Amino acid sequence: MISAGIDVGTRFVKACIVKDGEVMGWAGQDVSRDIDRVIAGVYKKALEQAGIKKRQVKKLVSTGYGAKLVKKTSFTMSSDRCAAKGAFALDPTIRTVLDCGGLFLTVTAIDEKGVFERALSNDKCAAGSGKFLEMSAQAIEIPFSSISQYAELSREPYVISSNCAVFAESEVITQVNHGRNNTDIIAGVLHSIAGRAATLFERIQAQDNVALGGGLAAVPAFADRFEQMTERKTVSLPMPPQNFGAFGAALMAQQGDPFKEGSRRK
Amino acid sequence: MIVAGCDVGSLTAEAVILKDSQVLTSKIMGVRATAEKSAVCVMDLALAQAGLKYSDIDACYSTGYGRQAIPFSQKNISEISCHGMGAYWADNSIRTIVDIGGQDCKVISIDENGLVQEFIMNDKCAAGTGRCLEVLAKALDVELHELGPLSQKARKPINLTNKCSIFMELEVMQHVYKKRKARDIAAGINNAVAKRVASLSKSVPLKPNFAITGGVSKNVGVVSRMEKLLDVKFTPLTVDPQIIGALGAAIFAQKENGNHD
Repeated sequence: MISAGIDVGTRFVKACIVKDGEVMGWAGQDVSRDIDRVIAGVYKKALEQAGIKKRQVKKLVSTGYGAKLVKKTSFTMSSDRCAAKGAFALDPTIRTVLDCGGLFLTVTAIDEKGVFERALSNDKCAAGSGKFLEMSAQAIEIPFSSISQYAELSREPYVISSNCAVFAESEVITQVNHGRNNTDIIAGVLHSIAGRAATLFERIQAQDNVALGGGLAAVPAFADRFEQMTERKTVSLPMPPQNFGAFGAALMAQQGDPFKEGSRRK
Repeated sequence: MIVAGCDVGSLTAEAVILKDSQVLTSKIMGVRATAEKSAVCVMDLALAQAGLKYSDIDACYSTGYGRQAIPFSQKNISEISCHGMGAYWADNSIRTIVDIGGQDCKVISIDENGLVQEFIMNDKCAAGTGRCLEVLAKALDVELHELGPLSQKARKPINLTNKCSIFMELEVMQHVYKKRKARDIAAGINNAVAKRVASLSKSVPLKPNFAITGGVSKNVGVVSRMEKLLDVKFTPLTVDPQIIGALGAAIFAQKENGNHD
């Protein structure tokens, strides 16, 4: 059976096409004002990559912050469940998934069968999110893809005093104007964000093994700092971490809506 | 006697020059790279407009976020005292001042001499500040100064439930995706900022009369919503509400350097 998952995140839209549990194609794109077109475009690209026609897709499941914006879905599913599903399918030793996305940090615990146990998220404040890193990097003119290289060069990471992502942006600009190296600033921002993620992670009393998902996980310097702080090793999975959600949604589609078919909601 | 006050905030810098207790000139501009540059730049503009030189100024005090870095100032005073004094000087019936600046918001209670009695301030979180309005205006794709007038035309204002500016930005985007009218979203944005400031003001005794100062006081949507939420009327000030901080600094300079009038 062929199914599709679309993950409408706060910063990116991702789509994944799955046939009998195997990934056939995926695509991702920045969100923009015309969200309908972005969703349609990403879906089309993923279908093209998979060499599949839209009518061959038996079921479509959407997830993420904007899940409801996707039309003609079989059902929608929360992103913590989808990311956990995706990660577990790639490696059944995973018990905890920390999804570090554009605006939300979510940590999900799953049991040895991959069943969702509990989740925690930063739902009040964007401190520690990918957006925090993105805004800071932009303010000090470091391309997002080079953040890790810059951070590695830092000798004396700057300690960010603002907890608010909006204020951190002006704080880093002030620091640059006072002649501080942008390498030290970006290292400090990464440290602050990893600290937030680590706190959330400790709160859920996470079990090994741990997988990192989301756009932030693709920044190696972030993953390194997170591992140092929590003194845990994270497992790297054979898929870009941004795609766990869309992949998980497509897998959910294969099985049908667990809430509708009488399965227990935890 | 000629005195000056300089207020270097997080987003704008203001300078006021007083001659014999009359406002000779005032200037507002966006901040430069450092607080020092902003101060020199805005003061140069004010002096040029007044046709004066630095040596003509008898005393100059500074205030605001960058107040310690200003080379030509003899003393720096907290912006809380300056906003209190500035508003009191503009209208001596004022007892409560709501100041919504670029990176903070505060509610100040003053006595019958214009001195601060109590205050409460938020400078930890951008919600309820000018910066938040700026972020949300950008998300809505309108100019900051258009938010006020636009919101006045709203029929069904949206309700923003988040407290964090960045989550609010996301919420605004969702309403944009749903093709809600810009005026209704603008009203929702103004209401959300007003709500944050109003919730802050619960911790300070609210005595009449009331004044609203700072850059956000120019947004009619936020101001009218604040009046409704606090159930008060703001007394319109005779001077530009954005220069109140700098004005207060100048008044202190005058008081502490003779010529009490």
